Amino acid sequence: MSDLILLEHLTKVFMKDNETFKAVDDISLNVKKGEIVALLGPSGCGKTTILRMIAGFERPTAGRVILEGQDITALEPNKRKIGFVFQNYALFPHMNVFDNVSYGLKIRRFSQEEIRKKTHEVLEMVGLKGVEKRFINELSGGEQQRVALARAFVINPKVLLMDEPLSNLDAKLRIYMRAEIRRLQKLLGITCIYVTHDQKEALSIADRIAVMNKGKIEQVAPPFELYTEPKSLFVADFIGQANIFEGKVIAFKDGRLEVSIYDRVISARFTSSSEFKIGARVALVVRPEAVNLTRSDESALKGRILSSVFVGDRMEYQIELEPGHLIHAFIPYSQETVRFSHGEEVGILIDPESVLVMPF
Amino acid sequence: MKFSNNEEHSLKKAVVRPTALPLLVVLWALLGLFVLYPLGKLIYVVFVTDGTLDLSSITKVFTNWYSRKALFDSLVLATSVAAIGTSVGFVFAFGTTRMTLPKVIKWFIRAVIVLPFVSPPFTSSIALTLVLGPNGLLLRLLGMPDFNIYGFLGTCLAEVLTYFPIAFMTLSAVLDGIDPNLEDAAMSMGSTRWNTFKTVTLPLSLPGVGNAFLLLFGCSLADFATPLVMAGHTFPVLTTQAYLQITGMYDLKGGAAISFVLLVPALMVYLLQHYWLERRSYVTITGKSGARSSLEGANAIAKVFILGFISVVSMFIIFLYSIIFVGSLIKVWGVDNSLTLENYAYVFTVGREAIKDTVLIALVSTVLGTILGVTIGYLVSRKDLAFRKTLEFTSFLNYVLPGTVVGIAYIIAFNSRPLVLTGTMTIIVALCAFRYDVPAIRATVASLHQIDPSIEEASLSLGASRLATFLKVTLPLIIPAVTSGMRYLFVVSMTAVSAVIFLVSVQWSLLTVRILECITELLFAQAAAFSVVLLLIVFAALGLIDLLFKIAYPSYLRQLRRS
Repeated sequence: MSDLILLEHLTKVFMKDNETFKAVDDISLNVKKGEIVALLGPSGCGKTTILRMIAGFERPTAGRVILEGQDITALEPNKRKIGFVFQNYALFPHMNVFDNVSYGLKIRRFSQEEIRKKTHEVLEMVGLKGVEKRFINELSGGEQQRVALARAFVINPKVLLMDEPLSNLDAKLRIYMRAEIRRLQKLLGITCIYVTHDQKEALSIADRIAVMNKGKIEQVAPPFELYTEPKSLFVADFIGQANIFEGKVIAFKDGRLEVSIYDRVISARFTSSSEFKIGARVALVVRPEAVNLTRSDESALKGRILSSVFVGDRMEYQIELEPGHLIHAFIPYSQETVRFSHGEEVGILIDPESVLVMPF
Repeated sequence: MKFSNNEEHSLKKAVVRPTALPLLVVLWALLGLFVLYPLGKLIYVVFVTDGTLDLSSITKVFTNWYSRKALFDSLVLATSVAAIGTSVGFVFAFGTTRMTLPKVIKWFIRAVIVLPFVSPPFTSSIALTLVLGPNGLLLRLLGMPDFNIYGFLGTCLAEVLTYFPIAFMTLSAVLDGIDPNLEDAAMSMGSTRWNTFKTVTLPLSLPGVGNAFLLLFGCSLADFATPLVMAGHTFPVLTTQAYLQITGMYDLKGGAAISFVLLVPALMVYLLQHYWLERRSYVTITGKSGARSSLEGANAIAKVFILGFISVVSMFIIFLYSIIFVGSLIKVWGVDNSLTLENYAYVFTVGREAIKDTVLIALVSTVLGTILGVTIGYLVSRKDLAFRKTLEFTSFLNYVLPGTVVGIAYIIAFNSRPLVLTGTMTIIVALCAFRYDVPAIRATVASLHQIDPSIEEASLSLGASRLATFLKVTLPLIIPAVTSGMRYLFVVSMTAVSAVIFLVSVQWSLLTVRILECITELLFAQAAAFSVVLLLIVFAALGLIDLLFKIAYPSYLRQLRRS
C-alpha cells in the first residue's frame, strides 16, 4: 500500500500574548490508503492543530502536507477533497438533516436525482433513514454525530479527518459509535486520521496510533506494539497503566538483565535493541496485570497491602514497598482467587518477560 | 507552557470573512460625511469665531444663570430618573426571574415593556397631562384641582414610566444569568431568602444595576420630548434650552454651545459603561448551569409586596395608554366629554402629508440603515481589520450622543456649502440611518460572534468557496439579528423627534412634530389621535416585517418554536 498522505516536518508556531508557542514541532507522519491512524495525546499536545493544518484551516509555519503525491500545503481548504468531522459536529443549524448532508453535493453541482440518491444512501448507511426533514436541534447527540459522519462520507473524501468526534457522547454511546465508525470506515475503505485523548478509543479504533506529547510524536505503532513495546517512558505511562521504578543494572545473566530496586534484585527481559552498561541508571516499567501476589516466601520483593478495590472483573491492590513507594497490582477475579486484606504482608512476583527496561 | 483545549480554540481565527477594501473605503467616506463632519462642524462653530479660538459662547452657558440652572436641572433629573427607574426595573426583574407569577401579571408586564418602546416619545406626557394635568381625570377624582404636575415631578414621573423597561430588560438578563446553583448553595448552607438576596443575588447583579443606572441616566439626559411638554419654565433642561435657543431666538451658536455642554456628560456615560462596567460583569455564559430551582426567591410577605407593586405600576401604565385611546375619541377633554371621530378626521386631513412623509422616510431609513448596520457589523467582527475599534466607535457616535446634539450638528453642517441638504428628505434619512443603525450593528456582531468558526470551516471542507459559505451559511444564520435591527430602525425612525425636529421643513414634515404642534396649541385630543394612528402604523409595520421574515425563512420558525 502506498502513502496516501504524508506530513513532512510540519511545524506550527502560534503567537499568544506576545509569546511564541510551538503547538506542533517538526512532525513527520505517513498514512496509508485505507488506514485509520489515531493521533493520541493529552490536551494541548498539538494533535488538533495537525488535523487543522491537513484540512487547510491553519497554515503551517514550516513543513509540507502531501496528498496523493501532490503538495497541498498552500491549497484552499475547499479545494482539498478532505472530509472533516468536528468535535462539536458543526452542523448547520438553519438546515434540516437532508440539507446538511447534501450540502457538499449541491456545492459540487450534482444533479437533483443524484443528490437525492446519494444522500438517502448515506443516511441509510448511518442508520438515519426517516429523519431527513428534522432540524439539528431536534436530534439527539448520537443522531447529530451520525449526521456529521454522513455529511463527511457523502462527498467521498480522499481522507476523513475526525477531531474527537465522540467526546460529546455519553459513555455507552461512545463505545457503540467507536465500533460503528470502524465498521463504516472499513465498509467504505476510507482513509482516516482520528484525533482523541482517550487511549481506549484510540486502541480500539486505530490501525496505528501516533502518541503525541508537547508538539512532538513520541511513537507511531499498532496498538498491540504500543502497549507491549513502548519506546519511551511517556508512552509507557500514557498507554495503559504502569508501575515505573528507578533501578540500577547490576548484571547480565542468562540473556536477562539483573536490576536492583530498593536493594533487591529482579530480572528483566533484555531486548537486543536496548544497550545498557553495568551500573547504568534505568527505568523499569511493570504493567499492573503482570504483578502477582503470594503469601509464600519465594519472592524477592515484599510489601504491605495499602488498599484493595474490587472493580468487577479483578481486584486492584496498592502495595507499599517502602514508605512512599507503591506498586499497583491487578489480579483477575474468580471464585478461587486468594484475597488479601488491608495491612497484610505479601510477596510480590513479577514475570521477567513483562518487565521493560528503558533509559531513565 | 501548557495550553488547554479552550485556549487552543481561541487561537483559531475565523477563516471565512472575505475582505472588501472598496466597501471599506465607501463606508469610511460615508461615516466621515454623516458622522464626523457634522460633529467637527459643531465643535468648530462653538469654539471658533472668525477664524480664531473663542470660548465666549461656552462661558456664556456657565455664566447665564438660566442655562446654568438647565445644566443643574438636567443632571438632577437624570440622576433621579436613573435611580428610581433602576429600582422599579429591579423589582420587576426580580419578580419575573425569581417568582412564579400569575399569567395576567405576565401579560401586563409584556404590555408595559412593549408600549413605551413602540409609542412616540410624547405619549406618556400627553397621558399624564390628561390624567394629572389641568382638568385631569385623577385630580378631579381625588378632589385636588389645583395640583400642578408640570416641572420636576411630572418630567421625572413621565421619564421613569418611559425608561424603566430598559432597566427591567437589562436587569432580568443579568438576574437570569446568575448561576442558580449559587443561590441554592447559599440556602442549603442555612441562609434565609432575604440573606441570600443580600449576600449573593444583589452583589452579583451590581454591575448590571450600574449598567442600568447609566443607561437610564443617558436616556434622561438626552430626552427632549418629555421635558418639552412636562417641564415648563421653572424647570429648564439642556435639551429643550438648546432647541429654544435655536428655534426661538435664532441663536445657532448659543444652541450649539448648550448642546456641546450636553455632549460631554453623555459621552462620559457611554465611555464609563463600555470601558469600565463591561469588564466587571459576573455573568458567565457557559451554557451548562443548573436548572433554576423551583424555590421562590422571596418569602410570602415579600412576594405580596412585590406582586402588588408590579401590578399597580403595570396597571397605571396600561391605564395611561388607554387614556390616550379614550382621549382621541373625546371632543374636549374634561370640558365636553362627548364621543367623536372628529379628531381622526383631523389627523387624516391636516396630517395626511405628515403620515405619508413619515412612513416613506421610515421605510427608506430602515432599508438603508439595515444595510449599513449589517455591513459595519460584519466588518467590525473581523478581528484583523485595521482601525476596527475606530470604525466601531465612529459608527456608534451619532447613537451615543443625544439627539439634540446630532440634530444641531446636522443643521450646522448641511445648512451651508459645500453640501446643502436642509429641507430635503436625504438629510432626515441620513440622520436616521446613521443614528439608529447601531442596534443592527450590535445584533450582527453578537450573532456572528455566536457562530462557531467550525461551522464555516465545515462548509469549506465540504467544498464551498468563501463567498458561497458566506451566502449559504453565515448570512442565513445572522438573519434574526438583521430583522431585529430592522424592527428597531423602523420604530425609531417613525417615533423619533429630538434630532429630526431641527431638520423638518415645509416639504417634509413628520408625525411626531405634528403631535408636538398639537400639544403646544393645547389640542390634546388631536395629539392623542395622532399618537394612536402612529402606534397602529408601527404595530402594522412590525407585523409586516415578521410576516416577510416568516415567508422568506420558514425553516427558522420550526426551530424558534422548538428552542
